[in-house]
Amino acid sequence: MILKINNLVKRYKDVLAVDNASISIAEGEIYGLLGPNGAGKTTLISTILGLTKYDEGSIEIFGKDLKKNEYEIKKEIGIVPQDLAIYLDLTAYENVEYFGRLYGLRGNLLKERIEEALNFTGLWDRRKDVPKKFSGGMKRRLNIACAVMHHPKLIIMDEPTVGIDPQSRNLILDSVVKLNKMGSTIIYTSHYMEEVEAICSNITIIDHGRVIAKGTKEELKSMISFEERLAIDISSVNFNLVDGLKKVIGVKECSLNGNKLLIISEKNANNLSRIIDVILKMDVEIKGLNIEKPTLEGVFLTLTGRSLRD
Amino acid sequence: MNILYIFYYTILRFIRDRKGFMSMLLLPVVVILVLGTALSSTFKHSDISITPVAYLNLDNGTASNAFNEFIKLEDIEEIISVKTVASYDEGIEMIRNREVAAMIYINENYTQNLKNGGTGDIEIIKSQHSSFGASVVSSVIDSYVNAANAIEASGKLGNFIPQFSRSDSVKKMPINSTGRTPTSMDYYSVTMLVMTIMYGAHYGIDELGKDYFESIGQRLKSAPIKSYEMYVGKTIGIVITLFLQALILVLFTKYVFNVNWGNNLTEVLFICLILSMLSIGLGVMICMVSSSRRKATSLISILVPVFTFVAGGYFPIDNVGGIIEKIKYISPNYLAQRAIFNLVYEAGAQETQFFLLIMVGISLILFITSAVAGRRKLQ
Repeated sequence: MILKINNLVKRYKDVLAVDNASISIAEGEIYGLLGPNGAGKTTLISTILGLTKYDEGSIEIFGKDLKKNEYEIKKEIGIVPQDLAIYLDLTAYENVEYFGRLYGLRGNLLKERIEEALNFTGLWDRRKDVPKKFSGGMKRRLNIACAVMHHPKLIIMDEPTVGIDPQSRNLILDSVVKLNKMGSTIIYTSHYMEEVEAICSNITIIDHGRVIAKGTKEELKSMISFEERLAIDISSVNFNLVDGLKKVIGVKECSLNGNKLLIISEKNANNLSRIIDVILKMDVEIKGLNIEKPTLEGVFLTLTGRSLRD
Repeated sequence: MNILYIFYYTILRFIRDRKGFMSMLLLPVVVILVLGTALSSTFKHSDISITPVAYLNLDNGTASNAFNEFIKLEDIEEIISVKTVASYDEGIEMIRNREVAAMIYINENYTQNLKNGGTGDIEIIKSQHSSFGASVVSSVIDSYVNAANAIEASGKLGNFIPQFSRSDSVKKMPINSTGRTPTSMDYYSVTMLVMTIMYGAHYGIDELGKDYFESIGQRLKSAPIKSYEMYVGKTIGIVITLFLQALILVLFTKYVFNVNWGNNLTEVLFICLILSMLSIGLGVMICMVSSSRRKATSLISILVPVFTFVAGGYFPIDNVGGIIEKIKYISPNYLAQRAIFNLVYEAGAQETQFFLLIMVGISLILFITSAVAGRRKLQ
């Protein structure tokens, strides 16, 4: 395990910010950390970075106790904070150079890593410009370059795509996957569920400081998925159709809204072909069919009672 | 090594911010020019006129007669003009009406008290409206009392001096004030330089505040560097930046406004360096204790003009008396201004050293307080 958090507790006076949290992250993962605002994600990240002291429990990173080996561990971690953590009055090159020096890089190795990081984020051609002249997406990419130039084993990305255009977002998501393929383990937090769904292999959901669910995407979805939803666009309305469909084995509910049928079946009922047979036998043409699967957003809503963006 | 890198990039960023750097210099230059020109007449030398003083002597004894003789001496009449009053209330009324700078009052038991071996009091009731005149009267009375005490002490030792004799043992050497007192341009160059350095506290607030409480601080604190390396590197970078601005301001006023910075320019610059440390320390301390750049900025924006005012930075307020006379010593501006004026006009070397020591002490306290407050924030 590259990160192992055991029964972590952090209190701010009377507020329990992290409540007995335990998380294990294996090497090579892109690990999603989800939770609404104030759930305890930031506190958890701060404790992993050694910026916040914790009251109980333990944190092991790279197999070493964080408290005893903080300095050594920090050398192998990269952080991409939610807000931009770059100097707007230093050039892109100088920004990366500055943080590279703080991570102990010197001489030719430093120059190579600066070039590599700026090429990786597509900013090499703009290396002599100050970020004041950059678009929001370019600043975000520089934010990433500063975090990854020392080849960290563990990269923590705290909402790295907030407030940027779709093109820059795709570039950043691609770079996250590339970094992972290059050997870095990544902890990724985001308000955009589709991002987490697209790139993360394992996910932990936190609320009120507690880990309320964790597992793979499929495991999380199966926790709330007890039924399957089918939406069918039909050519004409036949009132016998609804009654006919309700008689199909496994169908729990059937309703009609204009020319759209909504059918809810028991999970794994395997009755799709039977439903189609019933519709066609009534001389109704099927114009479209959509099987609605459970999403992480649905999982989140079910478990926390809140939308992720609340 | 990290300290050097942090120091280098801090200075680089400040120097690159030409707009901010120049505006810090432009403002004092304009203020020096405006105040130095507009208030030049205030700094012209004028003759000291004879100070009017009310006098009430209710004692008819020999001791007070000696004082009567003293105030009629030609030399004393060149300094004070005595107006005898009939009652205590009349003298007080003259003070209220600003007709006199003070009243000298001798009670009816003055001679008797002295004969009985007690003390004879000559009271001075000073006007609040003429602190200079009142101090002149005090000096005259002090010189009489000192002489009288000397005769009294001599008599007790058996060497009674039968009568007061006057001799010309004092050699008069008129002082030429040219080049020894500041012109308005000289004065405001010093006070505005000091004010500019004090406003440099904003640098401390912005830099350390940003690196401590904002996202860039998260990145820096996550890096494998010691917190003291960050603190020291940043602080030295800001202090040197501020000192460079002070240096440019001194050289600009010296060669463009022909301001008199005396023969000890290196020492003047050393005071600027110490004041830069104090100013940055103050900004950092307020920022760390308040945990808010906004609050710290607001507080400094109030404190610096107040410090400047009580130190006489906007206009000279020496000998005004009252609360300002007492609180001016807590103003860093006052300490630095006095130290610089002493150096430029070659006066009070000991006082200069004392003020410098106080400034160094204050700076150390401010930096230690900031460090302690900063550590407590990490919980």
